[in-house]
Amino acid sequence: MLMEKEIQDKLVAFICESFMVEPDEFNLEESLVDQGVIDSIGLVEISAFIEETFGIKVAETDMTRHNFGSVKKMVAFIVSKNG
Amino acid sequence: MCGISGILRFDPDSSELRPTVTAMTAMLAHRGPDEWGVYIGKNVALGHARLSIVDLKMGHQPMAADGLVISYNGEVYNYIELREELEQHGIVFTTRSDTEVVIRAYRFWGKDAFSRFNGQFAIILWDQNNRQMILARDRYGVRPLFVTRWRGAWYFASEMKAFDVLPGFRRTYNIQHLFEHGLLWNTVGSDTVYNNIRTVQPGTVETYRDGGPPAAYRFYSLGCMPQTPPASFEEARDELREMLRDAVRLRLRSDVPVGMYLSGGIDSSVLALLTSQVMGERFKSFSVTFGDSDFDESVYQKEMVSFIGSEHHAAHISYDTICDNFLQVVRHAERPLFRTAPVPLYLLSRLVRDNNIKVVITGEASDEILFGYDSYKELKLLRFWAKAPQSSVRPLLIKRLYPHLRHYADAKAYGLMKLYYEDFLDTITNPLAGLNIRIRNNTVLAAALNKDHLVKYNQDDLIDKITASFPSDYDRWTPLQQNQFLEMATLLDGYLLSSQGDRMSLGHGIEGRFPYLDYRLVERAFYWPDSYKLNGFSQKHILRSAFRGLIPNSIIDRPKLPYQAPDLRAFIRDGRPVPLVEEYLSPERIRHYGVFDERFVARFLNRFTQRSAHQVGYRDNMMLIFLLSAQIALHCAANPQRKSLDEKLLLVDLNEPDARH
Repeated sequence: MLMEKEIQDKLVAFICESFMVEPDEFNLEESLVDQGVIDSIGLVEISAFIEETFGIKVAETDMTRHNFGSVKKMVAFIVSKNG
Repeated sequence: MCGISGILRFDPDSSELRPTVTAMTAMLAHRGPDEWGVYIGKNVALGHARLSIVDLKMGHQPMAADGLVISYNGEVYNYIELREELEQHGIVFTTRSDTEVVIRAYRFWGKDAFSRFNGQFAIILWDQNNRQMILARDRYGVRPLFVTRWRGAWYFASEMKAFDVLPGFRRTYNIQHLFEHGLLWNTVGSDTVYNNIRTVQPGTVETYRDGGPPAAYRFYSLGCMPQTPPASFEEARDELREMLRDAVRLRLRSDVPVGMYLSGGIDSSVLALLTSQVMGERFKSFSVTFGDSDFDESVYQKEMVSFIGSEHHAAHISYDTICDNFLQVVRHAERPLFRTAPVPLYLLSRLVRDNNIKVVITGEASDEILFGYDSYKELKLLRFWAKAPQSSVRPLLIKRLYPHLRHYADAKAYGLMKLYYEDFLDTITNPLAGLNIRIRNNTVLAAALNKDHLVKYNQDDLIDKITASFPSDYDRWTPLQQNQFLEMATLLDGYLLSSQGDRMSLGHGIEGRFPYLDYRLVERAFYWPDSYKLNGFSQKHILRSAFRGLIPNSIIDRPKLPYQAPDLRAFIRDGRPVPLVEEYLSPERIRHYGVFDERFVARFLNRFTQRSAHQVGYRDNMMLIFLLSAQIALHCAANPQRKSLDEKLLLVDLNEPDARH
């Protein structure tokens, strides 16, 4: 099972590469939409990345601020699904 | 339509006035290629490049009368009625031009004259007796007017490039303004993206007497004419038909033939119908068609052409056309763009010119005044949802927001869209509510800026800056009325009417006329109930209802396709940037101007080596066009194209006594 740190690093690397931000330019505890890092298509890309990279299925009911409201929350969501 | 310029200085040496104002006017000659003129006073000069439309023989400018000298760009459509009114007061006219009406009206009514004008205008007026310069701009900012103070003198011009001829002057970006322009697609208030250049705000008169700041007087602001509500929707619908018809009638006043832009959408189709009814004869219509079928609307254009029987001409736009003309388009626009949509309009005006037409009726602003934009729908949805944030039913409306966008209609993606919009529920009550989504999406531009500039986005500061321009009634308006104010203060004035409007049509000496911006209609419609305009999610509901049965249903009921042109896919082919992009976004150029972050730009371009340019979204498209156009605009500012005027076309050379040079 992947460690939280490893999951977070992969997510951050993907976000930096896809949305051209530096790791120190966004806060891991806040919404990426709020911070202007991603738009609606960005959310689609991130969820597709999570499904492909971590081999989990994201259901419509999973799409909540509780699960996607920040990078930290996404990490927790992936851990819970992998568990 | 015309180009105007002016100088007001305070030192005794006025020998430079004539060559300077002539050089400034030469930079505006594309706006008025038919003739030109100058007025030279003791410490003042006016220049005028004319596109002759009304009173071809007598309407030359600058024009002097009653101790006033005017250089005027635009049209006052109700000049016939104003003239009759002035004549009843015993005022005598020597020409039949609208220019003389403007002068006499100002002499008679003073600055209250401007609120009597129904039209589109930018005016520089020299009051010889009071030694003051008066500047005025129409209510919605159709015609431009810029000001700079340089080496102790004031300079005024229709376009900022006229200032490039001033010795030692060079346009440079104010980076904070550039960023705000990125967020809103327009700068705020009287700011421009450049240091030391202001714009006269729409609906405003400014008076310059000395070196100090001008006295400003606002003669119009949206919503300033409260209306008695109509008795019913049906009554409002009849009003709309009548008011639009009258707006078209006034805008067909011209001594040269008038043509029209026909996009294939409902707005221009309605105007085509009214034009054909009022004019009673066949007219020429013009449109753009695209090689890329994602943007092409020619099916609807053909349908409307055969319906009204116009003589139709189309400009065909390919990816190459976009690339080949982009530099020239940015030179005219003078500011960073966000889409390539201005390019087809620039080529369209050339086509119009080639067909010997100087004036076109065009359908802008219907989306603002009748709630045609997505921002109105989004705002309505978010406010409805915010009343019960836990509801699982309310957000289902998201599926109906944008049926034409694949990722919105996809059932699997619904959850993601819900998540996306949910993030805006918290800010729905802030004063910029309708703009939140645009601002949030555009914040990404900050990452592209050179980090040395230390530009930061502070939402509270931006809100304070924008709300400073709010009329006192703003808080009493509905959220959708407030959104209309914001749309008109940002996108309409600074982008649609300028980068996509005035600068593109006047690039080829073509005057656009905008019936939906007749202030009588704008004010009337502003006070109709919101539901007349946005009924459920039915946009421009009242317009559809008013013209159903009068134009083909296929036009009335077609899905809305926002006017767009190919952006990134025109500039990145098979993963490789075209030469224009390689040149202007090269590391050397990025370093040279120092506006953007070199590493960011390189990484951004590199993204597209692996993915198809067809798989990019709003933000990538916007980012590329912003980066490229911002670099090109700076290049154009640093390398002005000096022009000279044909002396044979100098038809006015006025001099104040004792000021001949």
